Amino acid sequence: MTGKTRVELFPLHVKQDANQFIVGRPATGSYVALSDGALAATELLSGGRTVQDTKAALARGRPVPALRLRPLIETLLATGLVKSVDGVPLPEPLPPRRYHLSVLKQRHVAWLFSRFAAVGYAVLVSLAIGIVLGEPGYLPRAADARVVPGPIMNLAIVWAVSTMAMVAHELAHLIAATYLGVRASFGLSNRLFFAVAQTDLTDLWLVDRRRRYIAYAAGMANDILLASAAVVALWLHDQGLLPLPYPLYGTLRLAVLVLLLGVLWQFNFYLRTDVYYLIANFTGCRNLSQDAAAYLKRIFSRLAGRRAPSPLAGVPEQERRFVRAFAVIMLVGTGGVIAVGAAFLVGLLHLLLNGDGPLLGSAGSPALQGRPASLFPVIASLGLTCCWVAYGVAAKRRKRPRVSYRLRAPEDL
Amino acid sequence: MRIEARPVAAIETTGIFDFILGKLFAIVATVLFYMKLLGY
Repeated sequence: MTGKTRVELFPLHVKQDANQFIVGRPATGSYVALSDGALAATELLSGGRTVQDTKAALARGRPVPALRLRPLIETLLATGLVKSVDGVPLPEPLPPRRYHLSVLKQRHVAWLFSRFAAVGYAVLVSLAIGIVLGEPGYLPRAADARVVPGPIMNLAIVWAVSTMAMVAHELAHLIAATYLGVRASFGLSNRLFFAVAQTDLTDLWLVDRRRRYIAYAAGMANDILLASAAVVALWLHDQGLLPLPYPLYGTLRLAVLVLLLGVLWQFNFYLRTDVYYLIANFTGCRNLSQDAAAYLKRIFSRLAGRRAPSPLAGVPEQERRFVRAFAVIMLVGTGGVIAVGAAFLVGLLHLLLNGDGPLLGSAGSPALQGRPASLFPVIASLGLTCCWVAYGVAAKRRKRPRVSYRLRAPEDL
Repeated sequence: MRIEARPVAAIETTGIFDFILGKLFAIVATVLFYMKLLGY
């Protein structure tokens, strides 16, 4: 690449965000944060000017010593925003995105975010809180995880309820995104060894920062609303106002447990959960988790005696404080959860190898020959989680850039 | 004039699957096992 090179960019969306601009391409979900100067340079480049002409236009009438466009062009190349260089099309580094439920339009879901609906939600949650305060027996207990005596049937019920809760949670994110005017997609992934479904809301970068909270909080709000509805239904049944056969009654109690534990799990924010995005949005850190991980990596590299460049070089000082604090939480949280996971595996392995007998109460019929029957759900769950996590890791690898560009230029651009 | 550009991260909100059996029961089993191991 030389000063006379022309860089053609894909059609880009631009959104002002605090004192910078978010520029990106929804087709591949690639976005960059640009300073005002970088945005001006990008617009000049996409207008067909050469690199040299862009620099001259930016410097016109102003003393701009050592104006360098190289870092900007490298970032645009790496994020797949460059369509061609001197008329030669470039291979796409990122795979195209697929959106889900695109038939859903803003007009279909707007009523869910109306003031009228908000009043309904507030009444429902207040009712549930009132019921729980008056009768703490409606609070979920670990025993609610057992709906029927047979472990296999119980496992099927738990997985069915978990799946429905998870789908409703992700759907709430997608509906909120639709309300905000952006599209989203679903996928399966993992956070460490936790099996999760995720909603790709990357296009939220094109929405006002204050309004992004709606999409981030929608999943947890949905969980709390559904749990509240279940508590009210249980209470109505106990008052003789709503007939519920036992399996349904027990399933509703299980649903309250699943939904509220799901909300609690979101507070593991060092794992990039919904609460993480609320925090990142509040602090204005657009790469909080990635920067914290890079910061920790550099510390470990230095401890190992290797020299590594500072990963926070381009990060504003205020943001750096959040990144450092988050790095500590990330380290402690991740270490803690891995320790719990390891302790669980050691314990489970010991039980399996020694055939110590059921630990989790009596089981219906022996599910695995020669193994404690009540451990079957845990083992089945572990097996499913392992497959899910393996799929999640493979899916992440598929989303990695397929091409990496190295900019070679005889002159300083 | 500042020419600064940084990629921004993808936004991927999550919902957990199978918290109860996979995690809660597992933790309960682990606690019970270690209690037994310690002689309680």
